Amino acid sequence: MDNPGEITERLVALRDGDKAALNHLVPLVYDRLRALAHARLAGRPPGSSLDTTALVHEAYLKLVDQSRAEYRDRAHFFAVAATAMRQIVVDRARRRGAAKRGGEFRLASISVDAVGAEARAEEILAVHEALGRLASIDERLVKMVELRFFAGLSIEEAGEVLGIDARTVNRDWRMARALLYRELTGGPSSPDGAPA
Amino acid sequence: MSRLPDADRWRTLAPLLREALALEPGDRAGFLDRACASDPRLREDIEALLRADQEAAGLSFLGAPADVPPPEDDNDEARSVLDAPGGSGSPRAGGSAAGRAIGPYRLVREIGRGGMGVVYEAEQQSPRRPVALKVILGGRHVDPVAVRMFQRESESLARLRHPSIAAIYESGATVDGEHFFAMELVQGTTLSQHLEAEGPPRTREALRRRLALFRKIAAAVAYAHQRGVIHRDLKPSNILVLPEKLTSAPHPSGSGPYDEAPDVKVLDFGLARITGEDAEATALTAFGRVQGTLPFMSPEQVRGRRDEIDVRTDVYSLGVLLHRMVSGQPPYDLDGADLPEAARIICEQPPRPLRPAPGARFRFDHDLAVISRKALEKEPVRRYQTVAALDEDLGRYLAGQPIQARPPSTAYQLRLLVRRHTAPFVAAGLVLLLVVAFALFAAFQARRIAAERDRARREAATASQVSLFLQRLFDQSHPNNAMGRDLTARQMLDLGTERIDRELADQPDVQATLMQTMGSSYLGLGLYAQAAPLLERAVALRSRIYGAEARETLAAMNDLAMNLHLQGRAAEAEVMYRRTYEGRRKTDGDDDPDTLIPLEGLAWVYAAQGRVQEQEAALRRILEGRERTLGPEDRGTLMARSELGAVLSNTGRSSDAEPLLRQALDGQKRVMGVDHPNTLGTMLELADLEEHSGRMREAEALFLDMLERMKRVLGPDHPMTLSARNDYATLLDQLHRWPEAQAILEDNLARRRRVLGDDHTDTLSSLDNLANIYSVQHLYARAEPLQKEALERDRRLLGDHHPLTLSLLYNLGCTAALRGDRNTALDWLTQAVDNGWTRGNQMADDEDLTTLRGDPRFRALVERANAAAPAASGGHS
Repeated sequence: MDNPGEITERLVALRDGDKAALNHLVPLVYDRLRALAHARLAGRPPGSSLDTTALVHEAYLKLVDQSRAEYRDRAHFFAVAATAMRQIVVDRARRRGAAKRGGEFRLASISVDAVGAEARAEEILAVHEALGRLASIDERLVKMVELRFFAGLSIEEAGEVLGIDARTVNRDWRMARALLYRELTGGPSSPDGAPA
Repeated sequence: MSRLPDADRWRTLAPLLREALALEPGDRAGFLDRACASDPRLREDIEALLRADQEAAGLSFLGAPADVPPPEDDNDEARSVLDAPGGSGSPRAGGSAAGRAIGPYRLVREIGRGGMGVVYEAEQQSPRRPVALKVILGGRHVDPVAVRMFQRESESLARLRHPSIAAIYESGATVDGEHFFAMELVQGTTLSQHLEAEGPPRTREALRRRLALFRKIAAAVAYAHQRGVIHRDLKPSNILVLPEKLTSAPHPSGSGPYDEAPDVKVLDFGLARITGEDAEATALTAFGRVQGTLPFMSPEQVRGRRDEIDVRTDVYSLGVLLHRMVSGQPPYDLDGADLPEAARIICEQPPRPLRPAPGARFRFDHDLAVISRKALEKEPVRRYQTVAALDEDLGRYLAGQPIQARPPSTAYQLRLLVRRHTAPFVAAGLVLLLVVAFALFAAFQARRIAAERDRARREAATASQVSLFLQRLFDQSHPNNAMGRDLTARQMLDLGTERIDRELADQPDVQATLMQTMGSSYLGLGLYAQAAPLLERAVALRSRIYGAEARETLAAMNDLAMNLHLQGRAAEAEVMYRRTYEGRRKTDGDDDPDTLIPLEGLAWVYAAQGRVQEQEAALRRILEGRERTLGPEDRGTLMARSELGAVLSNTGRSSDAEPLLRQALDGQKRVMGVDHPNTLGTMLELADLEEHSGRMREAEALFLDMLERMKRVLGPDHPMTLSARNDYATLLDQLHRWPEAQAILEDNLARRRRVLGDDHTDTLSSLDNLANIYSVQHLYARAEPLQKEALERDRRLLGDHHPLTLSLLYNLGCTAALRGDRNTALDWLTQAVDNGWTRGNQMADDEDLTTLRGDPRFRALVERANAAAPAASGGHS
């Protein structure tokens, strides 16, 4: 399961219309991505950033046999990686949450910065949960948030994955963000009657 | 409550929103006029989302990729962000701001800067007046929730008119997303500067003046409270002391002690954390964030309990202020403490006693110390309930009248003492529980001692050994013995376990007793994994010492059985319960309460395994026995009645169940109170019954009431709370409120994984439920991994041919079919049939499998399944 071949195989199969390949791809990418994240964080101080953007790109280069990959494969891979990344980031955030709730009494080692991180972790979890609700309304927006927020892809890259132009990405992204913002903050202010 | 539109609404809304976003902001109104002419609600929705888009952009909401951020200097971040939006160069140079306009205000100069915002002196154009303008910095460190909270309050803020409160004129946001607040420009020195300059009071006169000054501040805060505004961030830098020459207008409270003090202006009502002097002491972020400046923050703020903040939070901050104003010292020594340490001190340590500053020529009366202490109570309910009450008590004190506050009781102080030696926030109960468990144990022993003499001597010796051991354990947690740091309760227990091994090797009876005590303490807290080895060893030790059927052994065995049962290891639990039950029947008789305890455990095991008839028989036996020996109002009798009612209800005999449950609930409310876990359990059963009888409204009302109580009494992670939430989600499912049900189930699954582990039957049922909710919403991509996970576990735990495993294979087939993936669907279904799925007709008729019907492979599979079914072959032609 370590060679880049397996993931590449699945990507090629997916390209050729085998939708089932996707089901095998998700856990595969998740495992490998998590291993990469783990390797990346090993030897760094605790609390270091994952740098999801770099991680996803690095993963593509390492896990996919570039000599066999085609343009669409990159898009497919990023789509899958974004979902996996969301899981990884949410897991990390959950672990922080668990630490904070004192499950293992690790409170004493939390620094000032870590408290900020804790709140960030809660924000991530809140976004994740809100996405669960958003999924029943508009799956594409969920994918968009996975790509932009969880995998840290640029507008252009997200467009590549979804097969839409940058302007549409930008608008969809703003729609998703506005929905989530309102969902998470309970805002914005109730209409004051003044026309915009 | 979700603010997301539902799917239908979104289909209408999305294209219009997309189009509006593409337009210049100025052209949007016209577009919406045309597009939403017939639907004003639609327009409102779109406008709200456009505003959300603007605010989200201004605050860089989701602006950085998700991850838990690295430890970096937040202030630097905030500054670099500040440079962006105004576009007028670096505002750090005070002069550069001059002339720039924000809304209708022209900036004159920068007068202050904090972690989150800049304060300018500015000029309003109309009416023409000088104002203080606070601008919140853009960027991801601005907390949108705080801004929202503030804006919600700004209306009430505008109505605050009090000589000691700096008026707020306006709040708003620029197109760039900069939030600003315009307020009265006040000339004065901050209270911190004032206190610094004057020094602590050293004479009685100075003390009186100081108290008079404090009461002016308190009066302003009390006024705001009456109008529904909480300050949230009272501290000396938020209070200005006016120069004496401005002290002209008579204070509304007339003459009296107020006249002795200069006038004050309290700033920043409701505007927590804009001008903080020490931003680095406070972590600022989105949810559950810490507000206020640490030394003045109440325990509830330190813990991030946003929902607990109310007027009593301000009472606390005023308490800190009072302490500092009269003694020259803050109530806690937080110098050099890092944030968690400071938080711990604020939440756990008693404030230092109120002492006059060095060199003072007076002593504080006891009464003043009591007042200060009461304002600084950790728990809001123990504080002054209003600022007015605090102010009045100070008035009584100054007038030489008896004050209302009472010093805390000994019991309460004792509790605080115990708490101080426990882990922050979490484990306070553990030590108490241990003490309680021990007390019960000792009482239990005492009863035995009266009965049996010989054994008595031995047990008395054991008891005193145990007592001594626990005593030493507590000593260990004393700061002097723990190298300057407190031990957490958990560390204490771990230490205790280690010492049981090391020090008591020659006293196995004492060892066993302690292991059981600690094991059952862990058990009571739901820490089953920690409890298990202790209880196992207690059983083994006692069997060796007293024999396998001795009372002592059976007592430990019952706890062990319960622990196994709660770990989801039903088969092992059954063996242990049965051995305990049979043992006790022999020694104590059939109806003895002690005999019925393991029988009750057996009833639970039967329940877990679906052996309903055995369960019902056991419960009837228990109810009968207890009514005879303990009477109808005994807790155990009530419990048995409740459980029997539950069984009947769950097996569809609602009309028999309902009177039993109602009787049990009434009795439990009377005997144990509404919040008792047993009462809540009965409530849960009754709610389920209402649901199954189709009385959804009644059921939901019961659920909401009960969940609130459970969260409070048992905690959000308690297995029972989680079960109740799961049942509530089922109700929501039936009402087709799927997104709500989904949110609950997702959260529940995460909690159960964490609390119970991945293999627990409850966790597995959470997986199933959540997968079903996803499927019903057509979220197959989400359902599938859960079903696969459940399948993998069921295969491992139950085997390939178990009905649950088969139905999961079948469900996976359905999910794949619904997704339109026929090959995968057939794959799963084939696996189901291969392993023993025989309901071919169901398969043929299942609507979820419609897409497969034309496929010859599917037809062959249906036939193969039917052929394998023993009865179906003849019954279906």
